Amino acid sequence: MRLLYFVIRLLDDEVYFRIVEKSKAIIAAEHVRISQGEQTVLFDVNFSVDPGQFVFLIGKTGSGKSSLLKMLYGELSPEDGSAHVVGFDLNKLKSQQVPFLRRKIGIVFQDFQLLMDRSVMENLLFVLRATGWKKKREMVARGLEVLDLVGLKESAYKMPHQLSGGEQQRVVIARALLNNPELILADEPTGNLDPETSKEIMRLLMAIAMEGTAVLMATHDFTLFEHFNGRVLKVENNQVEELSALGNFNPFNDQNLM
Amino acid sequence: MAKLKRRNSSRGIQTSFVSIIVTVALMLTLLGLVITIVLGVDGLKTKVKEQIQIDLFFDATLNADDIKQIAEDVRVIEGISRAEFVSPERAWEEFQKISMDSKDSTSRVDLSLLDDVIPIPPSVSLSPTEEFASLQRLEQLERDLRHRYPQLEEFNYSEDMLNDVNLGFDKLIYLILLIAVLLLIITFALINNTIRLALYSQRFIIKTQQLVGATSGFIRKPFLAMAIVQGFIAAIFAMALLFGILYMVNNYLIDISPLIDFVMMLKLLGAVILLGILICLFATNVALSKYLRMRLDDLY
Repeated sequence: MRLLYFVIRLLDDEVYFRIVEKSKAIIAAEHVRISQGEQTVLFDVNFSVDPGQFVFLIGKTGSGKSSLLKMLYGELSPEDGSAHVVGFDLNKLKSQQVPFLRRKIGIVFQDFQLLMDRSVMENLLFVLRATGWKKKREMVARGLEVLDLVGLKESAYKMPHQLSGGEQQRVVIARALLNNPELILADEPTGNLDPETSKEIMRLLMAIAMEGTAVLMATHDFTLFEHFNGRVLKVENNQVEELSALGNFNPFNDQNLM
Repeated sequence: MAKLKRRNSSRGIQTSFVSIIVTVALMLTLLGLVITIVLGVDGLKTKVKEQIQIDLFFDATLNADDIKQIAEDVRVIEGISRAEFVSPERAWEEFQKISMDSKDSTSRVDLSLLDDVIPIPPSVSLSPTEEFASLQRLEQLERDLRHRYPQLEEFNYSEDMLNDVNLGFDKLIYLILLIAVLLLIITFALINNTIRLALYSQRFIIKTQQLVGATSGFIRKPFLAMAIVQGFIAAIFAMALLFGILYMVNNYLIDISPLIDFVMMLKLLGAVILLGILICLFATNVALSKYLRMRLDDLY
């Protein structure tokens, strides 16, 4: 592979950068059209997300944010154009491949809650079992590891209803991290939380991005991206546009993490 | 509050488990009864077919001993289940019996009128095996016998009775099978519905698995395993009920014991267990496929 890149680079610098950039990108969408039923929700969608980037996806309710996210995790297929996510070509994605795409994506959705009938650890073990983990000891170790990342190691054996809303959301994020995803898709992760707890969750997601996992977060809370640095994609009039490239998240300026 | 909810949801699953088993068990009992009737009628058909009587009459060149010998010989021919020599005396006795039974007393014949000579020649009485009890096979048998014994004059049997046995029983069996198919469809529809409800109560678990990337095989496995267990348990209940019904019918209504034997009961047991498991598996799989194909949004 490396040899191939080398040969291409010798031939044409520009082509080399296009290929390498594209293969490196976690999400690469070109001229994508997304429909729900008969209706076109978004058209000519062009954007890419690189490893470790934190990207806000903003737009009004019903603007098509959710449809875009759905396409990214394989629930909707793109109608036109080309879309690659975590190495999967969404145009050629077969339904049997969808589970394997999702194992590389962590999902933090408002309506994707913990299972209330089992403990935090059981929730995590349930996901690990469902994604092909076999050894109990490794599963428990991984569960404690991700809970440690979100600062809830002591709550491993509590029931979800014994945790606060913010803590539950942190467990949801821990669950999303279980299989070392390359991308976290978050849809209104702070939707039901008070401003203080929202900030806490945002800091956590930012820290995850710093570790190299790309985060795409849909929100309609405009105050959030004023306080936290990140790229901003705006969904409006059936199109997606980049608001400003200047506000890129700077990992060395970590005042937001304090 | 949450604890209460939890208890309720697990009780919901138990209720659906029980209701699936009750539905399947009752339907399997009905299906089992139908199977019993089919097997019973089939047994009856065999018995009746083997009771079809064929009389062989030979020309005067053969004496009674020759015909006795023929009766011995034909017993080994394929397609013959029974063969016996009928002496003129026995034939006359039977003829008399038939005459006595008939109300027309004038038909009664006094042997003295015939100078004490029985007018019926000695004959061989045969019964075909079950598979030879059809018009075609009997014609074949007749040709075969005429070839072996050129002295054979008459090969007599009642064509009407043969047709009645064959067509009558077949019609009956087709009718019963039709009922069985209808029952199967009803069973399937009922179970499918019950299982869909049971799956609905598990939709969060299914959705979680789908969103984190479980393969559809992994999601299906526990439900299908449960279906096998349910089918088996339901089949056991159905068999208990079925044996109860058969016992009652046998003891209080009509004696069906000649039609029922151990092998048939084993067949019935096997069929009911197999049907129970297959019905549950199939219905669960159809309901699951529908569920897993649904868009995540439509789950709510």
